[in-house]
Amino acid sequence: MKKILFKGCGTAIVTPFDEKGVNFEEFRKLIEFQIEEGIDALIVCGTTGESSTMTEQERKDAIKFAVDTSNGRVPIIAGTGGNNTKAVIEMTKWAESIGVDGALIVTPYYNKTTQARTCSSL
Amino acid sequence: MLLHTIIKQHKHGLVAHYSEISKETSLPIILYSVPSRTGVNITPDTCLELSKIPNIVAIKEASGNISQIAEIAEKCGDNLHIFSGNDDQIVPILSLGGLGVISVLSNVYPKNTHNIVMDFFNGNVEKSRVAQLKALPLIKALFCEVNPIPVKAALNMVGYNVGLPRLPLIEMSEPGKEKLKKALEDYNK
Repeated sequence: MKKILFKGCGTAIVTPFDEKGVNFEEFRKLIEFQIEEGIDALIVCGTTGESSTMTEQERKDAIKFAVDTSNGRVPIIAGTGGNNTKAVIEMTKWAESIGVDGALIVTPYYNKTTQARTCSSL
Repeated sequence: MLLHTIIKQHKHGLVAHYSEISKETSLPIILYSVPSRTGVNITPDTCLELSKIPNIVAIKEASGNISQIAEIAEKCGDNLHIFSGNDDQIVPILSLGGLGVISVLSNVYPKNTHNIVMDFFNGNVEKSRVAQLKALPLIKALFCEVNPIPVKAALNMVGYNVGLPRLPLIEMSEPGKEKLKKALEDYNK
């Protein structure tokens, strides 16, 4: 039996932006709304969080902000996936070091890759 | 025999990618399969391989392919938990043993989306089913343009100020906003 990160609904939360960058004041409101309404986990910087158009520093700042704001009230799962395995490893290790509860890792999407039994129809 | 050997030696890139990552962290990892976006599907056989890695704990399944999800559940059992990655397939995936959903809808309606899952687990499948179907037109509106364009528009409509999506995504079209606004109103009736 594998660890259960959460049971129920985890929100793939949007990242609010303004002209300066991530709008942390609004991000705090969204996170508080989610927790008040009884959400079971928050997934930060996934596809819905527009991680693909955030800089590495912005992603780190948003993930850290969510961890600090939640302060243990709900699990924070960081989207750390990407096309570059080494970069995914670095981001995931960093996320672990600041206290996220889990990592959501999308398959490589541009370079793609092969998988087990790809050629089984040969 | 030779062909079999060639297949066996074929580089399993997805397994290599995820096993390298999992070696470097002790964080629980959720795989995310969304072939419509990525062009890459994680097959049930690959799930089975990956489920043998201790800190790969779950998959967010957004292939939309219920037959495949059933096969993943059958092959992996408790070694790979399943979360729906599609808001319109929460109940079907729960019925196959899923633990819940990683949701876009819940940005706007966290409590209702949570309740779809919890009513199911508490044995009130009918209530869960009705709530799933009630949300369907709204879910369609939330995905009528590329996610997260509509959900950001929806949050702005209900009083948040999440700004516009970043380029190359653009603001929701006017017809899209009209459709979304109506779907939000209908959902709240």
